[in-house]
Amino acid sequence: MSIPSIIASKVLIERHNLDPRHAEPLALVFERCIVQQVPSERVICDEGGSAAELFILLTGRVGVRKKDYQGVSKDLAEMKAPAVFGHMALVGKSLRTATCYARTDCQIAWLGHKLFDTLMDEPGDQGKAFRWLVISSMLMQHGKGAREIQHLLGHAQRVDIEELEIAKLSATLHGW
Amino acid sequence: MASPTPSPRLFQNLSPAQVERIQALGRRIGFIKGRVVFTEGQPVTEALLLTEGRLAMTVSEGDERCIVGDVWPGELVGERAFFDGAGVHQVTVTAAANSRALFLDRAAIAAIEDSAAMASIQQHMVRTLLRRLQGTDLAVRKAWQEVRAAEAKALAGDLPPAEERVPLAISVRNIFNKILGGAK
Repeated sequence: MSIPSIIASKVLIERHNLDPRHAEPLALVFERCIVQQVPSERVICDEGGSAAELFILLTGRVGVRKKDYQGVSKDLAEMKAPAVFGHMALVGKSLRTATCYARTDCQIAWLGHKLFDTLMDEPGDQGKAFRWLVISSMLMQHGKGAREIQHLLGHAQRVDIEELEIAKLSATLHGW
Repeated sequence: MASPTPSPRLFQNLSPAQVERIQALGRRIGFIKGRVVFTEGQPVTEALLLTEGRLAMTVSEGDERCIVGDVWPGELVGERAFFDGAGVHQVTVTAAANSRALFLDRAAIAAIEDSAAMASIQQHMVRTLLRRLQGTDLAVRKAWQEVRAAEAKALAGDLPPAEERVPLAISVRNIFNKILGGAK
Protein backbone atom coordinates (compact mmCIF):
# COMPACT_ATOMS: atom_id res chain seq x y z
CA MET A 1 0.00 0.00 0.00
CA SER A 2 1.18 3.54 -0.66
CA ILE A 3 2.21 5.81 2.22
CA PRO A 4 -0.36 8.58 1.43
CA SER A 5 -3.20 6.00 1.45
CA ILE A 6 -2.11 4.62 4.81
CA ILE A 7 -1.69 8.08 6.37
CA ALA A 8 -4.97 9.40 4.95
CA SER A 9 -6.82 6.34 6.17
CA LYS A 10 -5.40 6.57 9.70
CA VAL A 11 -6.09 10.30 10.04
CA LEU A 12 -9.62 9.98 8.64
CA ILE A 13 -10.38 7.08 10.99
CA GLU A 14 -9.28 9.24 13.93
CA ARG A 15 -11.07 12.38 12.74
CA HIS A 16 -14.34 10.52 12.14
CA ASN A 17 -14.15 8.43 15.32
CA LEU A 18 -14.29 5.21 13.32
CA ASP A 19 -13.23 1.87 14.70
CA PRO A 20 -9.43 1.54 14.12
CA ARG A 21 -9.95 -1.89 12.58
CA HIS A 22 -11.46 -0.08 9.55
CA ALA A 23 -8.10 1.65 8.82
CA GLU A 24 -6.57 -1.08 6.69
CA PRO A 25 -9.71 -1.80 4.59
CA LEU A 26 -10.10 1.94 4.04
CA ALA A 27 -6.49 2.27 2.87
CA LEU A 28 -7.19 -0.61 0.47
CA VAL A 29 -10.22 1.30 -0.86
CA PHE A 30 -7.97 4.30 -1.54
CA GLU A 31 -5.60 1.97 -3.39
CA ARG A 32 -8.47 1.07 -5.77
CA CYS A 33 -8.74 4.75 -6.80
CA ILE A 34 -6.83 6.64 -9.47
CA VAL A 35 -4.35 8.95 -7.77
CA GLN A 36 -3.38 12.15 -9.56
CA GLN A 37 -1.18 15.15 -8.83
CA VAL A 38 -3.26 18.32 -9.21
CA PRO A 39 -1.42 21.63 -9.61
CA SER A 40 -2.41 24.70 -7.63
CA GLU A 41 -5.46 26.61 -9.05
CA ARG A 42 -6.65 23.65 -11.17
CA VAL A 43 -10.44 23.12 -10.98
CA ILE A 44 -11.34 19.65 -9.65
CA CYS A 45 -15.12 19.79 -10.11
CA ASP A 46 -17.44 22.46 -11.47
CA GLU A 47 -20.63 23.88 -9.98
CA GLY A 48 -23.54 22.63 -12.10
CA GLY A 49 -21.46 19.85 -13.63
CA SER A 50 -22.38 16.17 -13.52
CA ALA A 51 -20.91 14.07 -10.72
CA ALA A 52 -18.86 11.12 -11.85
CA GLU A 53 -16.58 10.70 -8.87
CA LEU A 54 -15.85 11.19 -5.17
CA PHE A 55 -12.51 12.70 -4.18
CA ILE A 56 -10.10 11.81 -1.41
CA LEU A 57 -7.68 14.64 -0.78
CA LEU A 58 -4.46 12.89 0.23
CA THR A 59 -2.16 15.93 0.39
CA GLY A 60 -2.61 19.69 -0.02
CA ARG A 61 -5.55 22.08 0.33
CA VAL A 62 -8.74 22.51 -1.72
CA GLY A 63 -10.91 25.62 -1.91
CA VAL A 64 -14.69 25.64 -2.39
CA ARG A 65 -16.47 28.45 -4.21
CA LYS A 66 -20.04 29.01 -5.34
CA LYS A 67 -21.81 31.61 -7.45
CA ASP A 68 -24.19 33.98 -5.66
CA TYR A 69 -27.55 34.98 -7.12
CA GLN A 70 -25.81 37.66 -9.17
CA GLY A 71 -23.46 35.07 -10.64
CA VAL A 72 -20.39 36.22 -8.71
CA SER A 73 -18.16 33.41 -7.38
CA LYS A 74 -17.63 33.52 -3.61
CA ASP A 75 -15.14 31.47 -1.58
CA LEU A 76 -17.02 29.40 0.99
CA ALA A 77 -14.58 26.99 2.56
CA GLU A 78 -11.19 25.37 2.51
CA MET A 79 -10.43 21.69 3.08
CA LYS A 80 -7.10 20.39 4.32
CA ALA A 81 -5.83 16.88 3.62
CA PRO A 82 -6.91 14.30 4.40
CA ALA A 83 -10.53 14.98 3.47
CA VAL A 84 -13.35 13.36 1.53
CA PHE A 85 -15.51 15.49 -0.73
CA GLY A 86 -17.88 15.19 -3.66
CA HIS A 87 -19.85 12.36 -2.04
CA MET A 88 -23.17 14.19 -1.75
CA ALA A 89 -23.67 14.50 -5.51
CA LEU A 90 -23.00 10.77 -5.89
CA VAL A 91 -25.27 9.76 -3.01
CA GLY A 92 -28.06 12.07 -4.22
CA LYS A 93 -27.33 11.48 -7.92
CA SER A 94 -27.39 15.24 -8.38
CA LEU A 95 -25.25 17.91 -10.04
CA ARG A 96 -22.27 19.55 -8.31
CA THR A 97 -23.44 22.42 -6.13
CA ALA A 98 -20.07 24.16 -5.87
CA THR A 99 -16.74 24.42 -7.61
CA CYS A 100 -13.72 22.83 -5.91
CA TYR A 101 -10.20 23.87 -6.91
CA ALA A 102 -6.66 23.16 -5.74
CA ARG A 103 -5.38 25.92 -3.47
CA THR A 104 -1.98 24.25 -3.36
CA ASP A 105 -0.43 21.41 -5.31
CA CYS A 106 -2.51 18.41 -4.26
CA GLN A 107 -2.54 14.66 -4.45
CA ILE A 108 -6.08 13.42 -4.98
CA ALA A 109 -7.52 9.92 -5.23
CA TRP A 110 -10.45 9.82 -7.66
CA LEU A 111 -13.10 7.25 -6.77
CA GLY A 112 -15.38 6.78 -9.80
CA HIS A 113 -19.14 6.35 -9.56
CA LYS A 114 -19.01 2.68 -10.54
CA LEU A 115 -16.59 1.91 -7.71
CA PHE A 116 -18.71 4.11 -5.42
CA ASP A 117 -21.84 2.05 -6.22
CA THR A 118 -19.87 -1.18 -5.78
CA LEU A 119 -18.57 -0.09 -2.38
CA MET A 120 -22.03 1.01 -1.23
CA ASP A 121 -23.27 -2.57 -1.85
CA GLU A 122 -20.13 -4.59 -1.06
CA PRO A 123 -20.65 -6.78 2.04
CA GLY A 124 -16.94 -7.13 2.92
CA ASP A 125 -14.69 -5.06 5.18
CA GLN A 126 -13.78 -2.47 2.52
CA GLY A 127 -17.43 -1.73 1.75
CA LYS A 128 -18.30 -1.50 5.44
CA ALA A 129 -15.38 0.85 6.23
CA PHE A 130 -16.15 3.06 3.24
CA ARG A 131 -19.86 3.34 4.12
CA TRP A 132 -18.98 4.34 7.69
CA LEU A 133 -16.76 7.09 6.30
CA VAL A 134 -19.59 8.41 4.10
CA ILE A 135 -22.12 8.22 6.97
CA SER A 136 -19.77 9.99 9.34
CA SER A 137 -19.13 12.76 6.80
CA MET A 138 -22.88 13.30 6.42
CA LEU A 139 -23.41 13.30 10.20
CA MET A 140 -20.69 15.93 10.56
CA GLN A 141 -22.38 18.05 7.87
CA HIS A 142 -25.69 17.86 9.72
CA GLY A 143 -24.11 18.69 13.07
CA LYS A 144 -22.19 21.65 11.64
CA GLY A 145 -25.33 22.87 9.85
CA ALA A 146 -27.33 22.72 13.09
CA ARG A 147 -24.64 24.76 14.89
CA GLU A 148 -24.63 27.38 12.13
CA ILE A 149 -28.43 27.67 12.30
CA GLN A 150 -28.10 28.05 16.06
CA HIS A 151 -25.57 30.84 15.45
CA LEU A 152 -28.04 32.63 13.15
CA LEU A 153 -30.74 32.35 15.82
CA GLY A 154 -28.34 33.99 18.22
CA HIS A 155 -28.64 37.19 16.20
CA ALA A 156 -32.39 37.44 16.60
CA GLN A 157 -32.61 41.16 15.99
CA ARG A 158 -30.71 41.27 12.71
CA VAL A 159 -32.60 42.26 9.59
CA ASP A 160 -29.46 42.69 7.49
CA ILE A 161 -28.11 39.35 6.45
CA GLU A 162 -25.13 38.54 4.32
CA GLU A 163 -25.99 36.15 1.53
CA LEU A 164 -22.58 34.59 2.12
CA GLU A 165 -23.69 33.36 5.56
CA ILE A 166 -26.68 31.56 4.06
CA ALA A 167 -24.58 30.26 1.18
CA LYS A 168 -22.04 28.82 3.64
CA LEU A 169 -24.81 27.19 5.67
CA SER A 170 -26.44 25.77 2.58
CA ALA A 171 -23.09 24.49 1.33
CA THR A 172 -22.40 22.82 4.68
CA LEU A 173 -25.70 20.97 4.47
CA HIS A 174 -25.66 20.16 0.82
CA GLY A 175 -22.00 19.31 0.48
CA TRP A 176 -20.45 19.64 -2.94
CA MET B 1 -51.24 5.91 14.07
CA ALA B 2 -49.54 5.28 10.74
CA SER B 3 -47.00 2.58 9.95
CA PRO B 4 -48.41 -0.59 11.49
CA THR B 5 -45.35 -2.57 10.34
CA PRO B 6 -42.24 -1.60 12.31
CA SER B 7 -39.67 0.29 10.27
CA PRO B 8 -40.51 -1.08 6.82
CA ARG B 9 -37.89 1.01 5.02
CA LEU B 10 -35.05 -0.15 7.24
CA PHE B 11 -36.04 -3.76 7.08
CA GLN B 12 -36.90 -4.01 3.40
CA ASN B 13 -33.63 -5.78 2.49
CA LEU B 14 -33.40 -7.94 5.59
CA SER B 15 -34.62 -11.47 6.09
CA PRO B 16 -37.41 -12.08 8.64
CA ALA B 17 -34.81 -13.75 10.91
CA GLN B 18 -32.56 -10.65 10.76
CA VAL B 19 -35.51 -8.36 11.52
CA GLU B 20 -36.49 -10.54 14.47
CA ARG B 21 -32.93 -10.51 15.80
CA ILE B 22 -32.66 -6.72 15.66
CA GLN B 23 -36.03 -6.29 17.33
CA ALA B 24 -34.99 -8.74 20.07
CA LEU B 25 -31.80 -6.74 20.72
CA GLY B 26 -33.63 -3.43 21.21
CA ARG B 27 -35.73 -1.88 23.93
CA ARG B 28 -39.20 -0.68 22.88
CA ILE B 29 -40.43 2.65 24.27
CA GLY B 30 -43.49 4.77 23.50
CA PHE B 31 -43.63 8.58 23.66
CA ILE B 32 -46.61 10.87 23.88
CA LYS B 33 -46.57 13.98 21.68
CA GLY B 34 -44.35 16.68 23.13
CA ARG B 35 -42.11 14.34 25.14
CA VAL B 36 -38.38 15.05 24.86
CA VAL B 37 -36.48 11.97 23.66
CA PHE B 38 -32.92 13.29 23.53
CA THR B 39 -31.61 16.65 24.74
CA GLU B 40 -28.94 18.80 23.08
CA GLY B 41 -25.66 18.20 24.92
CA GLN B 42 -26.72 14.81 26.32
CA PRO B 43 -24.12 12.05 25.71
CA VAL B 44 -24.98 9.74 22.83
CA THR B 45 -25.29 6.23 24.25
CA GLU B 46 -28.08 4.72 22.16
CA ALA B 47 -29.45 4.87 18.64
CA LEU B 48 -33.19 5.07 18.19
CA LEU B 49 -35.17 3.43 15.43
CA LEU B 50 -38.55 5.10 15.04
CA THR B 51 -41.25 2.53 14.34
CA GLU B 52 -44.37 4.72 14.60
CA GLY B 53 -45.16 8.43 14.78
CA ARG B 54 -42.87 11.37 14.05
CA LEU B 55 -40.01 13.17 15.82
CA ALA B 56 -38.74 16.73 15.43
CA MET B 57 -35.11 17.84 15.75
CA THR B 58 -34.63 21.32 17.17
CA VAL B 59 -31.81 23.63 18.24
CA SER B 60 -32.15 26.37 20.81
CA GLU B 61 -30.75 29.84 21.32
CA GLY B 62 -31.95 31.30 24.60
CA ASP B 63 -35.69 30.75 24.85
CA GLU B 64 -36.13 30.28 21.11
CA ARG B 65 -36.26 26.92 19.33
CA CYS B 66 -35.97 26.13 15.65
CA ILE B 67 -36.77 22.86 13.89
CA VAL B 68 -33.78 21.72 11.85
CA GLY B 69 -34.93 18.24 10.86
CA ASP B 70 -37.62 15.61 11.21
CA VAL B 71 -37.66 11.86 11.66
CA TRP B 72 -40.16 9.45 10.11
CA PRO B 73 -40.93 5.77 10.78
CA GLY B 74 -38.10 3.54 9.68
CA GLU B 75 -35.45 6.21 10.29
CA LEU B 76 -32.66 6.22 12.85
CA VAL B 77 -31.67 8.96 15.29
CA GLY B 78 -28.49 9.01 17.35
CA GLU B 79 -26.53 7.28 14.60
CA ARG B 80 -23.38 8.52 16.35
CA ALA B 81 -23.91 5.67 18.83
CA PHE B 82 -22.54 3.41 16.10
CA PHE B 83 -19.18 5.24 16.36
CA ASP B 84 -16.42 5.25 18.97
CA GLY B 85 -16.37 8.44 21.06
CA ALA B 86 -19.95 9.19 20.03
CA GLY B 87 -19.94 12.60 21.73
CA VAL B 88 -23.13 14.44 22.58
CA HIS B 89 -26.45 15.02 20.83
CA GLN B 90 -26.21 18.19 18.78
CA VAL B 91 -29.98 18.65 18.55
CA THR B 92 -32.94 18.09 20.86
CA VAL B 93 -35.30 15.37 19.64
CA THR B 94 -38.97 15.64 20.62
CA ALA B 95 -42.02 13.53 19.78
CA ALA B 96 -44.01 15.57 17.23
CA ALA B 97 -46.77 12.94 17.42
CA ASN B 98 -47.46 9.96 19.66
CA SER B 99 -44.58 7.67 18.73
CA ARG B 100 -42.96 4.29 19.33
CA ALA B 101 -39.28 3.48 18.99
CA LEU B 102 -36.72 0.73 19.36
CA PHE B 103 -33.65 1.79 21.36
CA LEU B 104 -30.34 0.12 20.51
CA ASP B 105 -27.55 0.44 23.08
CA ARG B 106 -23.84 -0.12 22.41
CA ALA B 107 -24.09 -3.87 23.11
CA ALA B 108 -26.98 -4.23 20.66
CA ILE B 109 -25.13 -2.13 18.11
CA ALA B 110 -21.98 -4.25 18.50
CA ALA B 111 -24.04 -7.38 17.86
CA ILE B 112 -25.57 -5.82 14.75
CA GLU B 113 -22.21 -4.42 13.55
CA ASP B 114 -20.87 -7.93 12.99
CA SER B 115 -24.04 -9.24 11.37
CA ALA B 116 -24.86 -9.63 7.69
CA ALA B 117 -27.59 -7.03 8.19
CA MET B 118 -25.06 -4.21 8.62
CA ALA B 119 -24.69 -3.31 4.93
CA SER B 120 -28.45 -2.81 4.63
CA ILE B 121 -28.54 -0.70 7.78
CA GLN B 122 -25.64 1.46 6.57
CA GLN B 123 -27.31 2.01 3.18
CA HIS B 124 -30.48 3.00 4.97
CA MET B 125 -28.53 5.45 7.17
CA VAL B 126 -27.06 7.10 4.05
CA ARG B 127 -30.54 7.53 2.53
CA THR B 128 -31.95 8.92 5.79
CA LEU B 129 -29.11 11.42 6.18
CA LEU B 130 -29.42 12.51 2.56
CA ARG B 131 -33.13 13.26 3.06
CA ARG B 132 -32.40 15.10 6.32
CA LEU B 133 -29.63 17.23 4.82
CA GLN B 134 -31.61 18.03 1.69
CA GLY B 135 -34.69 18.97 3.75
CA THR B 136 -32.74 21.34 5.95
CA ASP B 137 -30.92 22.82 2.96
CA LEU B 138 -34.26 23.42 1.22
CA ALA B 139 -35.51 25.23 4.32
CA VAL B 140 -32.36 27.39 4.43
CA ARG B 141 -32.69 28.39 0.81
CA LYS B 142 -36.41 29.15 1.14
CA ALA B 143 -35.72 31.28 4.20
CA TRP B 144 -33.07 33.18 2.30
CA GLN B 145 -35.42 33.72 -0.68
CA GLU B 146 -38.07 35.08 1.69
CA VAL B 147 -35.60 37.46 3.31
CA ARG B 148 -34.37 38.64 -0.09
CA ALA B 149 -37.92 39.23 -1.31
CA ALA B 150 -38.64 41.25 1.84
CA GLU B 151 -35.48 43.30 1.31
CA ALA B 152 -36.49 43.99 -2.31
CA LYS B 153 -39.90 45.19 -1.14
CA ALA B 154 -38.24 47.38 1.48
CA LEU B 155 -35.99 48.95 -1.17
CA ALA B 156 -39.05 49.64 -3.30
CA GLY B 157 -40.65 51.40 -0.32
CA ASP B 158 -43.39 48.80 0.10
CA LEU B 159 -42.30 47.76 3.59
CA PRO B 160 -41.85 49.57 6.93
CA PRO B 161 -38.37 50.58 8.16
CA ALA B 162 -35.85 47.93 9.10
CA GLU B 163 -36.64 48.05 12.81
CA GLU B 164 -40.24 47.02 12.09
CA ARG B 165 -39.42 44.20 9.68
CA VAL B 166 -39.22 40.51 10.58
CA PRO B 167 -35.61 39.74 11.55
CA LEU B 168 -33.78 37.01 9.70
CA ALA B 169 -33.71 34.65 12.66
CA ILE B 170 -37.50 34.82 13.03
CA SER B 171 -37.92 34.31 9.30
CA VAL B 172 -35.57 31.32 9.33
CA ARG B 173 -37.42 29.84 12.29
CA ASN B 174 -40.83 30.39 10.68
CA ILE B 175 -39.75 28.81 7.41
CA PHE B 176 -38.07 25.86 9.08
CA ASN B 177 -41.07 25.21 11.29
CA LYS B 178 -43.37 25.44 8.28
CA ILE B 179 -41.34 23.12 6.05
CA LEU B 180 -39.90 20.63 8.50
CA GLY B 181 -42.60 20.76 11.14
CA GLY B 182 -45.51 20.31 8.77
CA ALA B 183 -47.07 17.24 7.21
CA LYS B 184 -44.87 15.29 4.84
